[in-house]
Amino acid sequence: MSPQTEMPPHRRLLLLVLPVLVWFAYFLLTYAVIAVGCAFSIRRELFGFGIVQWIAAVSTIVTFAIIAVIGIQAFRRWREAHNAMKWRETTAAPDIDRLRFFALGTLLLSLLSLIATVWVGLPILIVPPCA
Amino acid sequence: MSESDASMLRPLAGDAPRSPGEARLRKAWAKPQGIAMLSAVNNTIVGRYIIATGFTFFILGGILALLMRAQLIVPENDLIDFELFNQLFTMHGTTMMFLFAVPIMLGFAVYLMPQMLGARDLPFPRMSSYGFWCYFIGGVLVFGSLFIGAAPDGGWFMYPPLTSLTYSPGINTDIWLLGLSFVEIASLVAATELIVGILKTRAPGLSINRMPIFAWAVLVMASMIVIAFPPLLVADIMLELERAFGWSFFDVERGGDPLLWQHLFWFFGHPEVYIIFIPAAGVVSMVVATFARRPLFGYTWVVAAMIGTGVISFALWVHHMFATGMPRMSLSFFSAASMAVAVPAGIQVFSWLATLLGGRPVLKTPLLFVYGFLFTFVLGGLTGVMVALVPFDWQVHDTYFVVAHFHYVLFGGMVFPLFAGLYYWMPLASGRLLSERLGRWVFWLMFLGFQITFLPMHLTGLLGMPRRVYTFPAGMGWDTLNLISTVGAFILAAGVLVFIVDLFAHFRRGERVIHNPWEAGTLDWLPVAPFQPWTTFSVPLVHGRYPLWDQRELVAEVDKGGHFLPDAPVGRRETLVTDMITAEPQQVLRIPSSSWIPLSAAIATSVFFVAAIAKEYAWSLIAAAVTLAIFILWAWSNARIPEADAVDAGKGMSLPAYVTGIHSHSWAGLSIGLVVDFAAFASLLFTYFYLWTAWPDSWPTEPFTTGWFPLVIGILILAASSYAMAWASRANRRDDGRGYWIGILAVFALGALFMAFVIPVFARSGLDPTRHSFDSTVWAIIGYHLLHMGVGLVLATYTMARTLAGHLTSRHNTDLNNTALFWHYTVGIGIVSLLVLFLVPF
Repeated sequence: MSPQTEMPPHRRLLLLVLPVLVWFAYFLLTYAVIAVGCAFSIRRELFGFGIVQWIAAVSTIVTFAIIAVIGIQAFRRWREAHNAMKWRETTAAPDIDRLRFFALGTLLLSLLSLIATVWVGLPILIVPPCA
Repeated sequence: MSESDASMLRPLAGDAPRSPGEARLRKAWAKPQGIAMLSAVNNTIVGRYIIATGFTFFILGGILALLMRAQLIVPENDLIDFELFNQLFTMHGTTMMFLFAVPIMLGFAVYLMPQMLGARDLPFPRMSSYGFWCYFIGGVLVFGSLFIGAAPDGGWFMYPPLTSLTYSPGINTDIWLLGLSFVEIASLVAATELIVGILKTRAPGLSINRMPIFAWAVLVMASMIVIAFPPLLVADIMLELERAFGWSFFDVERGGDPLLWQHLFWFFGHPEVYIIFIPAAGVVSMVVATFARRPLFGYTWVVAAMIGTGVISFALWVHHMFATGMPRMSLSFFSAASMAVAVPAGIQVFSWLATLLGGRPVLKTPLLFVYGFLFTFVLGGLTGVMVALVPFDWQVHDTYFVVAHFHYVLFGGMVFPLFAGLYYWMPLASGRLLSERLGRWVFWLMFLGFQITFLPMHLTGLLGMPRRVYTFPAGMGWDTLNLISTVGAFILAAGVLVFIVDLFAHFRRGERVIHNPWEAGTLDWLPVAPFQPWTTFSVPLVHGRYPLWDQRELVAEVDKGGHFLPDAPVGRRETLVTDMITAEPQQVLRIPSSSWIPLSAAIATSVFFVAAIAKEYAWSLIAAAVTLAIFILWAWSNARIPEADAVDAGKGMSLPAYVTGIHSHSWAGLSIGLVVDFAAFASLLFTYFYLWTAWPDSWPTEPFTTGWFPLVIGILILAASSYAMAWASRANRRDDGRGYWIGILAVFALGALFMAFVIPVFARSGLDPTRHSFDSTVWAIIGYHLLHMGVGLVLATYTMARTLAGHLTSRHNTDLNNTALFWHYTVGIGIVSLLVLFLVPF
């Protein structure tokens, strides 16, 4: 049996929803940065882009990377469980089945969060922040 | 299964108990009779109360809609004047959202969840009862205000400044703010116990990846309620403080901002839409699998889609505020997120279609309603993507296009699934089937009526007709469209009327059901008639997602008492607690039975709110004290140390009867309660920062007290009290009575010292909440923390009393654990409050 099946229940549930939570934290943070930046008219520029846009762009890339790592790990766990389902005895199935469920769940939510990150991140390049 | 072929399950069984164990179970779970029915707390009874009340409000809200449609049938109609019309649309929205949609979905969850999970009841039955009574009394109060002409009239989202004292001087707005706060208690209570129930009281073997989709839907919905409702409560209370005591949060002249209300309202209001939709989608998933006669296609995909929808829906609130002049980049964010949420919704639709295509659908009434849902909801979703585009939204904002859109989403997405659910599960509640023949009439009248009412409204909106107008001039191109809509509304109402007739008729004439009439695969269909309040004679051991399909012998085995807990040896109600993930059995949990305490507590709470509406604050304070006293009595009478450490759970398994620490159900319940509390606290902090960014120039630029000294002292006292609490807990675990008493008394003393120190600091600071939003917000945050300190001191006293009475020992220490958890949390928010108020924005 894989050591991953031993994870405590709270962490197991948290890992399932982690990708969307990371995305949500990013969303709130970027929104707050823009709100504060625009409210206090912070206009300092760096290489032709406003500082607010820089923060938003960097946090988009960091968020994308974090979610991608979570997603890739989930993919590996999913493939492992998927292969195990093929070869193992049926008696081990409930654990493996559960493992596959959590891995696939995290993987799918990572994909969704990646899409949402790109989607939210695009306006940073296109739209002037405080117009 | 009909009456004829069910006899194999119970040859000559009749209604008599078949074993001494079943007789004891019946006694422990006996329904109170006559007027004592009001003291019932069991989920099968309280769930029915909630559903019946919710459905009644659906009819009442519908009547308000018909009145409005009657007024709008021709231009310049004078059936209803503008004042009444304002009350009608406000109360229609309010009733449908707060008194019908959310409660009835929670009612379904309360009623069905234990049965679906193989539990006997929810873990906190008296809380469900308290929640129901809050909802019932609050709902009657708010709706009843229509009959005295004092109904809220500021629109269902109650935007200030229209709802501030200047423009709404009557009590209409106060009724909304306080009455609905009262009603929301019910949702929060139900959500808390549903989360604990779903995670901890599933049948053995029903691991989390085997839960019925409806259970996942309820889990997501309840988690969303826990985060989304507190901001609205905070906004309600802030607006009431402004109206009643002259504080300032939304008043521009005194540093407030009406947009703050919109942020807080929609941070609740948008997730609210999904709070309604997700459980409805859960109903659809159940009905589709049953009638397609095959497991749901893409189980994990649907679960992920619901979780994704749940989280993303919290990032959409600003799309209700596209026309408020926010920075364009912020708008783009929310526009993008609004379109992203269509992805998981689409996944669910494809899963249902694939299940139907891959199965052999049996077209009964519930499935018919699901088809109606799919058609209508997809259309509503598409117009949703349209209004998610900022430029398009600016064109149709506040027009009938939006009215058409959200009725397609809400009526299509929630009411059609609700009717599917009513037809589907009615046999469990009444033991009889609703009429298939009338069911088709109901469906087609409702479906066609709905389309005739709302499809033309898209056009009415595009032609420029604004929402919430009590009449309109002729010749604008709106006449015929409005006439058609009104005709449609009455056809729709006729469908609901046929349903009501059938509902009452079926109690006498409906075909009797013995067992699983739809041949479904999930545990909710396990019981065999006559259905008992404990849902299943023995708690089953489950091996898959559709136990009734996979385990052929299960029904007969369970009905013979061959699984867990087929007895009530000490005459108490019991259910199994299992692991959150694997559903391995952990504990036999005693759950409380019928009691008048919940109703009494709800009445006392209602006095608090009614007195506050009437501005009789002395009475409010008395009612609050009485409520607190009842809560203490409640807690005291509930928590008993079981007579034996281990209990026979059946199947040769012995389980502990008492569990403490993080595995205890009350610890889980309190933790979720604290999440609710933290969401409210976060809303206050948001208010503080939001108002600062709204008026950076008018906020003070230097600290309002004398330097860092009070800050450091305050934090030190709080930290010391937390340390003392940890000390007391540790000493109690070691059975060190002296250490425990030193610790818990120190907690009390330090808590009191903190209050004695902080109150004068703020009292002398010269902050006047009626002067400026800064002062109001500081007082609100400090007041919130001091309120918690007060509750913490009461809990510490309670814990000491429990120890003296012998109910709290080194092993049976749940009371102390809970008090400690609350105390550490209170210290946490206290330190955050002090740091924010003293250090930001200086």
